[in-house]
Amino acid sequence: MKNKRRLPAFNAGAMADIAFLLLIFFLVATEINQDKAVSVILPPYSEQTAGKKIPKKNLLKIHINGSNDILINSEEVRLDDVKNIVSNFVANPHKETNKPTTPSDAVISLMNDFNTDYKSYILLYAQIKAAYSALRNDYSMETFGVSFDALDKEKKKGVADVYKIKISEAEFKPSKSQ
Amino acid sequence: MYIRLKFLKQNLNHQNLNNMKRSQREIPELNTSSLPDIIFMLLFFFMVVTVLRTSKVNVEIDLPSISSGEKIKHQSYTNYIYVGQDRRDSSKTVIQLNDAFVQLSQLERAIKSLDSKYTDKLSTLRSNSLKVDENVKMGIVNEIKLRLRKAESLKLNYVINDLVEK
Repeated sequence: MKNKRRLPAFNAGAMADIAFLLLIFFLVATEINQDKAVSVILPPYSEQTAGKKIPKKNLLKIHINGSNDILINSEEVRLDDVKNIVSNFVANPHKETNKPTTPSDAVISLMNDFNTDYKSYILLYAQIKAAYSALRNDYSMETFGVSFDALDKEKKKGVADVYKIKISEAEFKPSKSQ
Repeated sequence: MYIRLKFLKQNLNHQNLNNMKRSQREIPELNTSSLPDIIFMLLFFFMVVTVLRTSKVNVEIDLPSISSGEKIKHQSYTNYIYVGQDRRDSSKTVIQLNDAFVQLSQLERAIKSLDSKYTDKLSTLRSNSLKVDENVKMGIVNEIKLRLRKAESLKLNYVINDLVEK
């Protein structure tokens, strides 16, 4: 008979308190807004510095010097013009002979100096990337009728391959004269 | 006649009693047993969303502001490298990897040992996020890039301050 005595009901009221405590902890610890970044993939390191030779017409030389001036093929340009110059060079809309025949041939050589400010460099880099993303978007609009971001993974890769970003960054070597 | 009146009276009394009973009826206790479930649901949401921050940044950093940035993929698998002025001694430019200062010469080994903790499958998600003060010179950034290449850690994010969002 003793065994048949009913157990008192389990009081779940305190459970909410425990859950609240945990909830508040995670609320405080959460970082909802993610960092934004300019993402790049570095070339693998190799001892040999001499790589493939690139035909001159495929190469756009961008140099940002120690006083943060931007030189494209030794001519000084403004930061706002970089995007247009790059997209004109890569897409080559008038089929000029001194520019790459297909967009994926284009290589952009980006050089900086020891004293270049990080800010100027990253603004320049973002401009080059913006030129490419605008070209990709245009291409995607033309062929698929939707923006690049709205494409599925495979199509995205296809478009990205047409306008493949090739930025070569010469290593800065103080001992060698560049 | 009298009997009838008595009956009516009785009836009335009865009704009164009934009314009394109704007004004194207790409100049933609110059942809170499903409250924990709701809270737990919220809790799980935040647990999943949370990226725990462990490192204290001892470097003074003003990120450069740009209008176009991408989200960092797999943010929990990224090493943070901070470059800027030392909080305690503003004359020095220092490098902090996650939670500790490192010298340039130690960076390659430090990155390698951090990456080696991960299995093959996860190591493809690994990346390095550079938080560099906008006034730092490129000379030091180039050195860091070279060290990262030597450590075979090639995915790099230059973290920026997104102008569009703010």
